[in-house]
Amino acid sequence: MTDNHHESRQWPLWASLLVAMLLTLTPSPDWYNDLFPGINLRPNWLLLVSFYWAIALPQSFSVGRVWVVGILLDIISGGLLGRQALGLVIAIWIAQKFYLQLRQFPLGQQAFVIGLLCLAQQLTVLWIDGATGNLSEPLQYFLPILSTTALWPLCFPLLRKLRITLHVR
Amino acid sequence: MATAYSQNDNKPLFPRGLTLNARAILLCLLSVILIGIDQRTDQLQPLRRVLTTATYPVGVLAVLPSTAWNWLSGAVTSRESLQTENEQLKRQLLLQNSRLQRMDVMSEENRRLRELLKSSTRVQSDVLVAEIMGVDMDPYRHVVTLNKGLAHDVFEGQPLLDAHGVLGQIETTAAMSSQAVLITDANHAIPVSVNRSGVRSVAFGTGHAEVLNLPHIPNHADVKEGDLLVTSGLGGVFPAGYPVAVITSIRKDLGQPFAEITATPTAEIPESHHALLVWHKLLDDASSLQSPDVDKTVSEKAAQSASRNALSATNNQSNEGDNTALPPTDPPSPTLGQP
Repeated sequence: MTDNHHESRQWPLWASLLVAMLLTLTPSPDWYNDLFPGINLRPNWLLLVSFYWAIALPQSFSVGRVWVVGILLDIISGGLLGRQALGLVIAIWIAQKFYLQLRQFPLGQQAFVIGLLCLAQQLTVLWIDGATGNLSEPLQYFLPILSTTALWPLCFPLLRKLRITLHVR
Repeated sequence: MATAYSQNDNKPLFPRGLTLNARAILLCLLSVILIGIDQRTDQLQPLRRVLTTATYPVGVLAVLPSTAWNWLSGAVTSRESLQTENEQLKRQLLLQNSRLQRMDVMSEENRRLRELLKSSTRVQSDVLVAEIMGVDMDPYRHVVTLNKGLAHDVFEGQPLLDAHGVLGQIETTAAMSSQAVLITDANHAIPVSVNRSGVRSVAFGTGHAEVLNLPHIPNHADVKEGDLLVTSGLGGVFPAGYPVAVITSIRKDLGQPFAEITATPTAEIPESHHALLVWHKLLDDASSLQSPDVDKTVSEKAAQSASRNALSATNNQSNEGDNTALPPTDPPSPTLGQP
């Protein structure tokens, strides 16, 4: 907290990722289950947060750290090791290739891009599940893309505020 | 906006040796290798155990809001609803107790009969109640986390039940928690037998919470809708005799060797909050040697009958094929007879 301003200060970055992880893992509330039984509309919180840090601070948050986050998610959610990690790494890799352009995009266009990245990630996961014989209901893989896209205009200002007020770099 | 980003941009892009592409490709390869190893072998299990133990607090944090909500709503439940619940539970207890009284007599009788038959004594089992943590697991797999782990002697492959039937089995154990795969997972299969007729089969999970699939029951087998499937005890993971599912639909297509049968699990899989971990062992070691043979002959018989059935089905098909092929050869004979 009392870090020198010239040192890198990253705890808010990790805190935001932890919050994203918790949002990924919390059980969906009962009213949601009553409303949409068996439908997975949960946005890809980790992709939203990682995408922000990947284009805002490409030097301190890159594919290596995203991979660690993905592995942790695989561990906690009980999937095959590397399943979510591979999808996240591919999405963030694409984001970082074009981070200078992405920063200049208006919010709507960024949301569209994150939708595409989410599609890339979900297709990767779908492919892994198909290859390992875990496939169930392919449609379920594509619904999170809608909610992830829709939430970017909300997440972006929040994370930006967090980064600027807490001098994350 | 420009000032906000500027501080880092004058640094070299990637101070470490590898470029972004190289690192990303390496990580992708590493992920694929990990997936392959994890899928084919269980060599990553120790690593998984350590990491699961280390990340346990994250899971606890994630369920904290819903736990707190449940506690709160429990704390403000009205006296009346508590009273009615209490009454209901008392009635249930009475009912169960009366059933248990008969059970004692019957199990003693069963033991004596088994002694007379010199067959293996039934399993003795020990149970522990575990709480299913509300962690929303991977939506594409049917896996739950339990709050009991190695510290409570939970082991991998341990069967998991709820009040109504078999839930699944333990897949990964950590110090204070464990992960169980449910019988409805697309990768799970459980050996079952029909309680009424003793027909044996394997119930495969489908990825749907309500549907199990029984692909290897012959068309002529004695199976009806509404039949209860219980664990058969083959395979050695699940103790015999626990309810698994009820058959919901049977479709017999005479052209196919096997009927298409689906069943619904008796365990209340989406609603379960508590589960029973079971430790089971045969009391009589000498006779336990005998049981695998019996099982083997039975399964051999089943396999034989299945293959016989498949054969007869293919014969039928080929006969039909012959029949359709015959007519062209038949007509010539009358024409031969006419002159």
